[in-house]
Amino acid sequence: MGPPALRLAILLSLIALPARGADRILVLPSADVVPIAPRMEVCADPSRALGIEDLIADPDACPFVKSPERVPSLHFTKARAWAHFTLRNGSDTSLRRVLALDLPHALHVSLSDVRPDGSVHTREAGWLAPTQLASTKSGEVQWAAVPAFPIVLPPHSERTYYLSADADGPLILDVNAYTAIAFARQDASLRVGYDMYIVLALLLGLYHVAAYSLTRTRAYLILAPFAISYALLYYLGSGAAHVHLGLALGPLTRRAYPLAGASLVFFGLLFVRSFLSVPSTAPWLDRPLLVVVVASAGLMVLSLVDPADAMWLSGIAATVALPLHAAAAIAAVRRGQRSAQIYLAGVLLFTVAALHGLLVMWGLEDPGPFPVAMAAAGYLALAVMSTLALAAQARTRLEEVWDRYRTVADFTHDWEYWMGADGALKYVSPSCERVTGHPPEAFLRDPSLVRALVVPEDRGLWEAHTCRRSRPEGPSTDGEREDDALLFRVRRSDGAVRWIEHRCQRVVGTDGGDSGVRGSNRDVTERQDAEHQLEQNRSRLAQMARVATVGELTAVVAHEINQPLASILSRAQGGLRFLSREPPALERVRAALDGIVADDRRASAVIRRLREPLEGPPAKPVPLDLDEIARGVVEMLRAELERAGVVVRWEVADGLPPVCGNRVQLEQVVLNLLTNAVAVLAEVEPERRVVTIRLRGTNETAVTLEVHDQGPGIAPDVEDSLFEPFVTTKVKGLGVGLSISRTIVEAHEGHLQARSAPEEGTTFTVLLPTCGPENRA
Amino acid sequence: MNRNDPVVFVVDNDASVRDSLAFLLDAAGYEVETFDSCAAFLERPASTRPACLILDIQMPGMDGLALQERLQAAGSTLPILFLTGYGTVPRSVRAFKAGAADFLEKPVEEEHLLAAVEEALGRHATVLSHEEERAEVERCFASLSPREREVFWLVVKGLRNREAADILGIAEKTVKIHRGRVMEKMRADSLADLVSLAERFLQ
Repeated sequence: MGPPALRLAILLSLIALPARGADRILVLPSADVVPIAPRMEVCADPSRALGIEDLIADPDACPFVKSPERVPSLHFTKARAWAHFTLRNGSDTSLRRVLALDLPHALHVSLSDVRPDGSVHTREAGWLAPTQLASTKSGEVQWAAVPAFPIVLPPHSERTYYLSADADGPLILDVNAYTAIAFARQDASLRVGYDMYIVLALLLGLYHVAAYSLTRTRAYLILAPFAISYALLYYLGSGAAHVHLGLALGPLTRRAYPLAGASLVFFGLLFVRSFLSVPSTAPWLDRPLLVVVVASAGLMVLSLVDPADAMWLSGIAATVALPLHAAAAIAAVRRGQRSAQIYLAGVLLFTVAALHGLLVMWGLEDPGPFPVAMAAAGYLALAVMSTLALAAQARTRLEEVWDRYRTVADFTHDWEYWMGADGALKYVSPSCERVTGHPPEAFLRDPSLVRALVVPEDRGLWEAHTCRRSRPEGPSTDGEREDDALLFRVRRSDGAVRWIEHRCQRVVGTDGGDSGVRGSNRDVTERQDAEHQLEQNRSRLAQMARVATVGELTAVVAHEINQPLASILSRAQGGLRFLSREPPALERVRAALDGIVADDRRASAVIRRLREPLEGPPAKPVPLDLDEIARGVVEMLRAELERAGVVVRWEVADGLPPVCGNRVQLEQVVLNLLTNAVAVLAEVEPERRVVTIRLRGTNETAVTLEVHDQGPGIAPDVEDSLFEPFVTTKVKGLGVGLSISRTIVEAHEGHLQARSAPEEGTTFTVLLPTCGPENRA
Repeated sequence: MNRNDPVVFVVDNDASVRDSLAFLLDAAGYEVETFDSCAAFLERPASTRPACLILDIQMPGMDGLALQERLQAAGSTLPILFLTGYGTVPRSVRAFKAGAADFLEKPVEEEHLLAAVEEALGRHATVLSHEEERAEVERCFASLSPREREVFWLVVKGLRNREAADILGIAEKTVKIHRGRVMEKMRADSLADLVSLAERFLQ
């Protein structure tokens, strides 16, 4: 339940209090404006056919003329009443006065005056707020909304007025009660209620401005001039009534149309605003509010048809609105909102004022300025407090949200940041200090600090990497692999080198535009160290295993070969002895030689048997995805690549046909080419440590795999013997890799070629035939 | 075949190695007997000829070390030359501790083999002759009467006839007669000879 609905309720409650008593034309005497009583006449025209001109032309045209001398009282139903009187201003200043009629059920009230030049000037009625008359203590004035006309009397002037009113109900012309009015604005008891409205409207205007600055709700900004003009209309004396009752009576008074339209817009905006920014102090109130709003709208429509009933109904609506406010206030107090107590006080004040109004309505209490002041104060408290509550709630909500996000961001373990599209850092988590030794301010001040911290060997990696463009909730939008963490090293302020696992993504704004890059840097030094340790252990283990295998192999070979060798030696030496006998025992020598031959054959057999499992039968070729094989090898070499600071770039054509061959052997080829490239790149500066792996189908029958490095190229003297076994430029290694690779590739009916230029590095090209139809899986 | 001609036993499961060794030893003039397993060797008839055993340390079934153990348990004095190959160092250590005569690493050099065999045979011959002598002395000693044995021990300890008589509670003259008989039965030419016999064989 918000201020707009409340305001509406108050307005409705004000106009809803119906008049009691007889319909009368009331003219109150005033000190400085003297009605010229003998010239005042009142008549009734049941046909409602007489116009002002008729009356001016013939004062007796009105058929039932009533004058104090003639008829004490006359009763009509739905007649037109005429009052005819002259006012004179004897002072030196111009006087502003209001003419009011105690004729709340009157329709089509108009005031005509005859100007000195003889022209007739006719106005239709504005409606005066009921409290203005309620505060008169004449005892004859009823508390009601009345038609009223502001008039201006020039100094030392006399002017004749014709008041005409069509009565909707019974019209009683009571001559004794006729009193010309020109009540003075200086009348204190009247002014209180009247000025209260002006002040209230002005405060409303200010309140709207304040509410706008608090809540930034645009509706307030629109409503502020309305409220101020509302005050202005009050001041002018006629507009106020229109604002209150323009809706009800506007259609019946042609000249009120613009004001009625403005009122319609005003109330319409109130309704719209109700929907736009209702503070949900009690959620269950949202629906009752809707009911109130719809009911109010219904009342508006109804008031077009039957103003009197609309007044009653709007009074009921106002009564309904109050408890809703009370409930909202109580709910807020229960929640412990301090301002809600004032809210509640406002509700109480307003309730007291309303009760007082009821008492006055039933004639049990004298009307007076006090309940109006209470109602105004209560209303003001309601409006301001509910707005403050709304603003506070919005602020609290904002603070909660801010606090939630700040907590999420600031209490991360990783070094988080957000770099705007302009390259300036928008956010750096405090954890950056733990990781880098530099405080967040340092990064905010100098965004290039991130790059500066990356160790020179890894800067190439850092600069080469791109961030995926993705939405937080969805997969990447450019088809790259999900897990594209970048590993690099940074040098902390204390000189220590830390390993960083970096992940980033381009930030897509709510408008779909580029909002920079969101990065996450995780300190993985311990993990990396552990991995390296593990890697070392693993390689040491592998080496030990190799040594052990070699040892085992050696033992087998040694034993198997040693036996025949031992035998051969003994036979030979024995043979020599027999040979040197006199005479030589040639038969024994022959036996020795036979034995030697047998032993030698046995040794050869051993060697042959040893070679057999190594050579093995050729594996049956199967269809293989060369891309998958290459990626598998790169994955295998990941740690090695990272250590060497080598970036692998992929240029893979779509829809590669499978090649046929032995997976292990082809893996060996890729492994060999890749390790060669990595070894070569160790000699060049870190930025050039890039290996490009290109895969494309040359035609339907072959797939080309290229491994390109930006290394120094192959020395011309080595180039010719590149594929010869035992040719190597490496310190370690046997120099059999390329030789074996070429053997394998050629066994697959492919080609292995090298192309090299000093500035362009080296490209090894493996051409492998695709699977023939007979080999396809 | 002379009773004192030496013989060389070769035990190796590898026929080629076994035969080639036998061939070489044959060429060097040794009498050789070959066995393809330890079990076969244990089944051969006992002999008192000077001999040595060339034994492959690594064999399926009962290996060289086991055979060495068995022979030692049986009180054999046969010298053992172990044939060692690659990777048999720990076994060699065990064999050495158990009293192996020598180790021959395959392939075996002729000189090394023949020298080791010669040395082992010589040693075995000495052992055998010593044992023979000891058996003779023991036989003689066994022929002494109880009183003569008493006199023998006292005399060997260096006591005079008079002192021995006092200890035994017999006449000096009787001791003298016993002593003469002892010298005769033990085939000793002098008191020093008798003491030497006692020290060498009868402690």
